[in-house]
Amino acid sequence: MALLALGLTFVALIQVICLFALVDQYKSLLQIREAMRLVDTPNDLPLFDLEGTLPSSAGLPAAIDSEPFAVVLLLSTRCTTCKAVARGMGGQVPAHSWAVIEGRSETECREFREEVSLANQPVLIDVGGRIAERLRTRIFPTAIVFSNGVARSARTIPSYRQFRQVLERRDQSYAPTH
Amino acid sequence: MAGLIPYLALLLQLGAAVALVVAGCAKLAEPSGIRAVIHALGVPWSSHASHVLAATELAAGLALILLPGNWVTSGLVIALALTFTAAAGFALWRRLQVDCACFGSTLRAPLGLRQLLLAPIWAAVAVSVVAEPIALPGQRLTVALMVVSVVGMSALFKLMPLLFEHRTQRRITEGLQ
Repeated sequence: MALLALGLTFVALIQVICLFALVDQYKSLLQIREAMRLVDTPNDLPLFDLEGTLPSSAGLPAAIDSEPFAVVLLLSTRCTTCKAVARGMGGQVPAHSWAVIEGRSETECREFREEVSLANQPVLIDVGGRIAERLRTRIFPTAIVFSNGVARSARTIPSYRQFRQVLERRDQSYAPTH
Repeated sequence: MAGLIPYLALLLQLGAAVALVVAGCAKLAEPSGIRAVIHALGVPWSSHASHVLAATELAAGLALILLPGNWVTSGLVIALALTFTAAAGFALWRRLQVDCACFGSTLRAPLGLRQLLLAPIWAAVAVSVVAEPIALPGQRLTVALMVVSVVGMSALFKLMPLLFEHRTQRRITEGLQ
């Protein structure tokens, strides 16, 4: 019996050492990703001279002008991350968000919509990037947060997870005050 | 108050056993951290020394549970305490800025004052081993197995968030391709 317990303790020790080695391996992987800049980190973008510009005057729906919290997600047909972010929506644009697809032609934008399963969703098509230009956006995908028609923040969206995090900020930063 | 002493000794010895098992396992799993510390302290054969240190820690941790009231256990703890104190003292004296890598690369802290402050506690553990041998019920090997299992569970808890993060990042990277 004592020999069995001794053997079990020894085996358990080896397993614990292996577990520690695994922890270290995952930490090293994260370190490598960070070094290669593959980590899912968003970057804040300057709003330039968007202040004072109503979203509707930039070509966005007029509803955004009066929304207390609205996120405009700018996607491009030429950007692969945009596809991953759009696919992450699972075929439905989340509440309080508007997707704008920038492309060279209407056909290109339509193909993109179908590819990311947003064909039946109210998505704005931005042929030639006119809306993106008015919103001073050159990096895709980018999310701009509007509150009652005023641009509050803009940031790059490296993944759908980061897009969800922008939407979740609604409860923290833009909750209506009574 | 006197009645509390055996319980305090038990707590101290079990705590020290867990700490030493964790430290030994972590160093054996990833010896590069402690190897770098030993090398920075100017100790020759840092690779072998790191393995010896890790094995001694593991042996001392298990001895605290399996061999109570034994001079070997006490000797192992004192030897480790002297090693830690000497390393910390040397680092402070030479003003070396090195990580202690006490628990491998997962938990890092600078080598120096902390180790010096812990020296009396290690001394108390070593004294209590012979002065107040722990009276654990049942098989000591079972207790040792339980301690190793607890350490294993803590490693699993460390692993889980990393695993989830890794999965998320992998999905993102796949999406980028």
